[in-house]
Amino acid sequence: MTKKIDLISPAGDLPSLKAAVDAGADAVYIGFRSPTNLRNFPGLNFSLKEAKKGIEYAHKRGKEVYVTINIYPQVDGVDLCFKEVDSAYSLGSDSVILTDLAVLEYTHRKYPDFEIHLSVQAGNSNAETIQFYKREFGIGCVILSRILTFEEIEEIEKKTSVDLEVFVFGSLCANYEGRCQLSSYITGVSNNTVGACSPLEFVQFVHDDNGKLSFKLNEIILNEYSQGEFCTYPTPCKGRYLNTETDMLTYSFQSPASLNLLGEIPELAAAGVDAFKIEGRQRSKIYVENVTRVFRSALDEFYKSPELYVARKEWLEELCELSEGIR
Amino acid sequence: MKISLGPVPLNWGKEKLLSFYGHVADSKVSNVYLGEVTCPKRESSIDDLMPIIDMLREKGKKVYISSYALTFDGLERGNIEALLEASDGLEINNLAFLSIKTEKELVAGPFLNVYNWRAARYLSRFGIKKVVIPWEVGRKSIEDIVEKSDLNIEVVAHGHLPVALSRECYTVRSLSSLEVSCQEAGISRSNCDKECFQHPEGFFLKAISGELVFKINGPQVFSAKVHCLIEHMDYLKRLKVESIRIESQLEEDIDEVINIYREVLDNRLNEKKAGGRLKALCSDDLCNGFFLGKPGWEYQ
Repeated sequence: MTKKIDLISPAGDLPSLKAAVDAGADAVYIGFRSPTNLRNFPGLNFSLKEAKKGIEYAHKRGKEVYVTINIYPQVDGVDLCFKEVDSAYSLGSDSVILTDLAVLEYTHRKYPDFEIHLSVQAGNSNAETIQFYKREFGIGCVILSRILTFEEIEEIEKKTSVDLEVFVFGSLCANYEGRCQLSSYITGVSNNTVGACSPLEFVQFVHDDNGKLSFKLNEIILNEYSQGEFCTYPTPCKGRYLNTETDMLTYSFQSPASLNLLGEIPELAAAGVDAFKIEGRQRSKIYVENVTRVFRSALDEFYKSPELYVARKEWLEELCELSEGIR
Repeated sequence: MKISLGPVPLNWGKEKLLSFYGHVADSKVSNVYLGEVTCPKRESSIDDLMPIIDMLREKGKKVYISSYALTFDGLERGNIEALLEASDGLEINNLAFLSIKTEKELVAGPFLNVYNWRAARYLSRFGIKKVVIPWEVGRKSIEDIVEKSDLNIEVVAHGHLPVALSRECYTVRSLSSLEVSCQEAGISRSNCDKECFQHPEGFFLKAISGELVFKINGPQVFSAKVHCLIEHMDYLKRLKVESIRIESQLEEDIDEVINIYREVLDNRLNEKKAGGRLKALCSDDLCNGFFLGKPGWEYQ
């Protein structure tokens, strides 16, 4: 084993960034407070001043910070994305996570020494596409599509010359990344357009007298829960629909489960993965801190004796409490 | 302005495809995109498609072969290269297919996610001459892309929109009432029972509040409503959009839909009247929200 797997944690604010660094993240990824990155939610993300502080905090401790700029900007958004790339560079962040061709071209041309990571939103499912981005924009790392199998990751590893990063924990998207417009079909905005899937201003939580809870997205009821039933944030892919063919009300796209690959560290290492990414810039500091700590402990234990590694029960229990679904 | 016909996204099978393209051959459409974009399990054989390509070209149509939108390693390239030989161009829906060596015309399909003119211009370096704009892109941005990119632009004007694509087969999930993923249930593209073959037109999903929201088509999700830009034809014409695309979804009435658009483009029918005729043809509600920068399913 040549290089150890890096642990990349999310941070929606400065306290979470610090918590992630302290809990053992090798790098933290953040977004600026603008419609340029996924998780563009009110009250979340970094001002330039906060980002500067965060980067200083991480660098002092030998850790890195990546800035996410991964929408597909339309006419009014391109210049803002360019501006955010300028800011990320001048603040000294270690890399930018990009997806749009215009933003990739701008960054590579203007800052040839600035490390670029290819966002999962580019839909990175095969080696040829990844090598295209490597040739054109010199990307150093690709965040792989969540729909790949271990064998496919291994195949990509053999055929590409960039670092491979995979999501190991957090919320799951059921659909091919960057090609889902379920949210904008209902609300007019999506991850691609403004960096938000089912933004809060379109969401309503309605309780009735019997304790039933309805989740509405722009007036459409996406789900109903009886008292005590497990709830997830109402994105259209996690809604329950009445199937007109079977006449059954089911989770038509995805059950409310979330991703956890703690038990699969040996397989991921064998497939040649270079970095583990934890999802959840929108989650709390406690979430960031605890998930980071568990994965740090697991990775350390794995490298001590790879052949003996098993995910400990207490780790799994802790992660279960923090996840947005059953798994 | 020309009319193009998108690739058939539904799992129609040989007989239905033949009958459909029989209608198309005699219609007033200029460009026809052909091939499998949605799922490799549904791919028609070369023997089935070659006669269709020949028939369409004999009638003066330009034929483009469309690639898959989602592809993995061991590249599922299917029959693309062989079909391309007999056709006029290639619609690339995943950058992996950019490596196909060909002298034929290259088109950036809607799944390449060109949301601004710079992205379009960047792709022209690789010989791409035409870009199909993703449906989520609003009017203001389309205008900017047409004006600044120096490329031919195609705008999707009519049909249920593919608003999501997955590796999961949502048809299988629905019919087996699976509450786990296909992968967890041990179902993959290599051993699926092709349940979508029993439901070639897909089926609708209704929200708890009663609205028809989506339509399931294997690993693809359609808008339940029919996206329709008939009332904006004059605007797109003045903008110098090269072509509009009609999605290949109505088997019987496709030539009538094409006729209505042609008549409006040739100023022989007014947009409002045409809208009424289209409404009568489609059994589903119309929408145009994406184009106007609003929720996709709205109609104004």
